[in-house]
Amino acid sequence: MPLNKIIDAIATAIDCDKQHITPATRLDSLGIDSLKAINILYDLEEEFDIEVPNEEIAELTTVHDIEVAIIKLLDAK
Amino acid sequence: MITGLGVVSGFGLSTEAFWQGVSQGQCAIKPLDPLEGIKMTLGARLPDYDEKQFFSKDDLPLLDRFSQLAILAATQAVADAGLTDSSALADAAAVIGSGGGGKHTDEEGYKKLYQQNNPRVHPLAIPRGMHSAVASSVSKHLGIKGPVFSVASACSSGAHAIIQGAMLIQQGLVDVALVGGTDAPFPYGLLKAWDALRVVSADACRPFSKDRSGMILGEGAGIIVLESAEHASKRGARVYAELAGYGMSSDAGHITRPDIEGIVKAMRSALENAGLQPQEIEYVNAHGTGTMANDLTETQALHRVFGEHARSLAISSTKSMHGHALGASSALELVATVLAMHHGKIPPTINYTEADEECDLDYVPNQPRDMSINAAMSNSFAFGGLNAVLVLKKKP
Repeated sequence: MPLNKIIDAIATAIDCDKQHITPATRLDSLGIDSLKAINILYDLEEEFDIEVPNEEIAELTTVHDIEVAIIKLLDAK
Repeated sequence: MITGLGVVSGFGLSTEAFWQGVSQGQCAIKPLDPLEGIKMTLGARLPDYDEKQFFSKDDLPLLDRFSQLAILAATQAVADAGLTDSSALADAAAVIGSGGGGKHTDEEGYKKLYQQNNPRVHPLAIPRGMHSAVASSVSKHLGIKGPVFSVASACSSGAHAIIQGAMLIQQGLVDVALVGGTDAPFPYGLLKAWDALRVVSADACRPFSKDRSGMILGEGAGIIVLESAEHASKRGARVYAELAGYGMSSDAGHITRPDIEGIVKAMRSALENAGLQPQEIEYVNAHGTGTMANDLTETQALHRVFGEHARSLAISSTKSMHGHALGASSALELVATVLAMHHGKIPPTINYTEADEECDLDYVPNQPRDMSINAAMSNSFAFGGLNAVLVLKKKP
């Protein structure tokens, strides 16, 4: 499931407990700035072999947003 | 004034290890792990270096190896200078030279892209690999907020950076400048490129010896704390030596063949800038790469600049021991020169086996020499004909 992998990637990147991350969690509430966010997205792109279009990146404010974007890209494969 | 020194090199991660090595004529050049398709078999790499021991998980994605080495050396230099007052560093400058820049980062990205056909490059590849990443990283790690930038002039990068820092102090823009150079030239693609240039020795670096067969690569970083005399005196800093003068020139000629006119011009400018007569120099830390062309041309230039006094000079190439660390070389060699003056001991040119009638000076062969030094010169002559020469005087 993408959600677990997304949570794993975030938790690894910022060294935090996975329990604190839910679909509703906002990235900025975890102290994730834009540079950290593109690093996390890069890890997920590697994991799922996808490429998140630039224009969608700015819209990804919560964990759920990332999940939706990834599922859409996986469905389109 | 030179008030702090920091070195990481093939001898290890401290200035002490470096000085122990070069002052005793030891060799940091060792067999490299064999790589398929690479002719180069020897190099002076950092022994047992594990980046995770020194940098956090958050920092590492932004630190190419060349930046890591500079940070380690800079941290030592600042501690050595006793610059514990953070406000002194906040106003300081940092000018760091590198010949290659973030080559490890470039290599990792290209390997994925071209070899593994992976279309994604790491998002930090640009900020991690850019030439100035090292200057930014040193600045960030030590809280240096004055003028900070990188300098590139191949094998003279460190010396040009040192000169830029000295000029910032002389202009009154800063009181303290961290200066020096770094390079980490062992990614596979880069080794292949050095192989192609056919200047690397297959057996040993033997500068000025008749049977010399080329240079040997090293990696490392050397950082020096320069300080205005007034600032150093006010805080009671220990002064190693005075950077008394510098000279720079360009051959405007062949891209790899050294040119005697350019070298002579840089050495004469440095002497003039230091206000010294040639006969006042007692020790020369030579560029001494171990190539036929460099060592011959450098010897001829020393004859031209120093005349009869050339025969009285003690000259050595410490590259025979720490390897040619490219943009770091000038800085490593300045540290060797400073410590030679400080300890009254000249590091030798090791692997010297046979006198060359055309390289006919005193190269302090194989054994260190106890000698008090009042004034010394350190030479750097880069590919592309970019020459930089530093002159040191014993502390006033």
